[in-house]
Amino acid sequence: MKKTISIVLAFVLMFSFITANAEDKKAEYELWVESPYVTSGLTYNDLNIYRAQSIGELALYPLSRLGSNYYLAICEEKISNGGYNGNTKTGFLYCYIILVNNGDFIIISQQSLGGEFYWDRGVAIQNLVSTVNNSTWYATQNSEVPYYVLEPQGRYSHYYYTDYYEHLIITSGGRIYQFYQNADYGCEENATAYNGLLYATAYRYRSGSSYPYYMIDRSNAARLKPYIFQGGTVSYGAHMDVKTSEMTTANGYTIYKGNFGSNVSTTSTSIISQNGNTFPDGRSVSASWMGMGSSLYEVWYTIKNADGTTKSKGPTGYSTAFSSVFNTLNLMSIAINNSKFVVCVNQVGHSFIKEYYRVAVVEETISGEIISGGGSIGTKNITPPNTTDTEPVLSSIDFAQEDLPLGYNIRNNVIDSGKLDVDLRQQVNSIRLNDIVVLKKSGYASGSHNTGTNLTYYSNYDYSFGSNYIRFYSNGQNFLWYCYYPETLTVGTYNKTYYIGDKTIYVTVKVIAAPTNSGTTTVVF
Amino acid sequence: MKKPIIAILAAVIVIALIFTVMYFNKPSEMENISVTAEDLEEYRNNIGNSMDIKKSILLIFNTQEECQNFINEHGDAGDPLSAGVGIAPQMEDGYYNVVGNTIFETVFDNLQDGEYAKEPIEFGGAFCYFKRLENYSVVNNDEDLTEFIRQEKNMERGGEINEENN
Repeated sequence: MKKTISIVLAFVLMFSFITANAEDKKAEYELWVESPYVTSGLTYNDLNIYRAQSIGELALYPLSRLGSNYYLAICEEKISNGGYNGNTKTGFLYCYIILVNNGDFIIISQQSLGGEFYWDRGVAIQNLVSTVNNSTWYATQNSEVPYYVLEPQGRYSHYYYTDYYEHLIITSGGRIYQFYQNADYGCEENATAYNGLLYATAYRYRSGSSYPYYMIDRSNAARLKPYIFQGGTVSYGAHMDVKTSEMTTANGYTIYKGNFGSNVSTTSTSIISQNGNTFPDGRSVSASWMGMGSSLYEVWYTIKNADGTTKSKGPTGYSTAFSSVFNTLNLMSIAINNSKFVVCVNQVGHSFIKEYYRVAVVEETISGEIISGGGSIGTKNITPPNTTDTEPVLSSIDFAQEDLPLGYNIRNNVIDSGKLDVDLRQQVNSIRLNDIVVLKKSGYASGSHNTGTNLTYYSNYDYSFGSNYIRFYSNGQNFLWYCYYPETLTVGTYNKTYYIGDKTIYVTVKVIAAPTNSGTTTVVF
Repeated sequence: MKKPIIAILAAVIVIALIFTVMYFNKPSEMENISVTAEDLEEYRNNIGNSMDIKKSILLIFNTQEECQNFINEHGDAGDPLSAGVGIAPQMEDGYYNVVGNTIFETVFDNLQDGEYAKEPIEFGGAFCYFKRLENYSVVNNDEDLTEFIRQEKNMERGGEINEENN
């Protein structure tokens, strides 16, 4: 497999399709290679937001208390059967605070939730503007002010796993504070607003191996500690204990636990630009999987001009296996400036991210002359003047292909004009094939060679390679061969000439010794 | 009789240790990739400024006045973040890489390393303090460029195929 990859990678620098620009009388194409490092400002987290938007798994909540263009972006990664204990329809949530500007955005902060949730249950989110408003107290504590509290809904529970209670608090500092606490024994804390402050509230605590309830005068109670948020770190002010029977709305308590509803609604995700695959100069990039055989698929890039015509297309060098083309993962590509793009799998949370940079822009005259940049091998049109007596067997040759015939034909008009006797045509119409290599070992061997032109029917059992024959034949299109007993052939190099119709076929047949079990054999062609 | 056995055992242990040290000290496959002066020159030409990392510091304020005051008071501070005001965007490596963000990249390109914008930069209705830290380019450092080339050549040889990211 590595060998295949290496071969394909070698073509990265040599391979491109060309689109001619008729007006300029020249073609221009580009060469791109993978960067060992991601050097753009586009991070995994930026891509998560783009990807979630692309596949409809992004929810945006305006955070007006932070500013007019701040949003909470929640990206949901959905896994159908990959959760704990084989949980199906499992969602993982990635939360970001972003500042949006004309479709672009910058990430202010982030938190990935630790738990698993049922798909599409959303979150309960409360703006605390009316319940947590003692800004003086927070200022004296040098604390950020809690602006929003958020609880994801639809948490999967696991009766034989540790259960966790999870909620988030968004503060005036633009930070998301995550609380993810063991809930197996009821000791987890939730948020409660009271008298202008937000408190971490617990009803039980751990004492050795037991988990007693807080009590006041034999009545159940809660312990409330005011949160203090400082630059990403949470501490607590002096606690107070309150009877749970007194923690009512009428007494000024607002408890944020368990589907407490939302007073913030989602907004359209269209405020984030979808035009990520267009370069500033109007070119665009896309990526797709290209089959390589043996269940291998490689990522290919396509660069298009602003008018939609293809400018360049080539392999990126990254390949992997899929059971079929229908099971390949969707890709997303994002252009960065004019000379860089990023390709990733279009799934929230997927780690496959590659960056590519442009190493050359090559201009080529219509006659094939490279006039700038580095050279490259690709598909070339071969169009000799009409005045020549010969023409190539292929008018267009992809020099990146391994099976590459070279040859020419005598033009019909040469024969028609009587300039060349028709019987001599065969001696001039010649095609040179790539070498045929046969390993001298037992087992059926065969091959097919592209001649670049149609051949008439042909069959020849050639015994000149040893005690058995190699049959050479044509099916009207290709030059084919097979041998049932390659082990009986004689090692050597044979330069052969075959006449098929009006064509002369030149080919070198190499019979080489098979490597022994005790080592390897290096064959240099 | 015991002494020769002990001597043989000691010799075996010493030899084993030597081979162990040799094994663990042998250069990795990537370290064996040679990088010539021609390679360096070729990569410099090919890469140009495509691989630049534009390291910056950003701080966001809700009003232009707040931002301007910050610029006036802390604009040239060595660590502007230590003032503890404004909202800082996510800066995973201690800086914000502006490559690909048209607004900030334009500002960056008009500053020198260590310089800061004297006026607030408006972004999304907010106002930003902006300081250019450094324009890091792999082509400016032979050692880094050599490592870059080795990494790329190693990838071309299929060295990356073992990644579990597919």
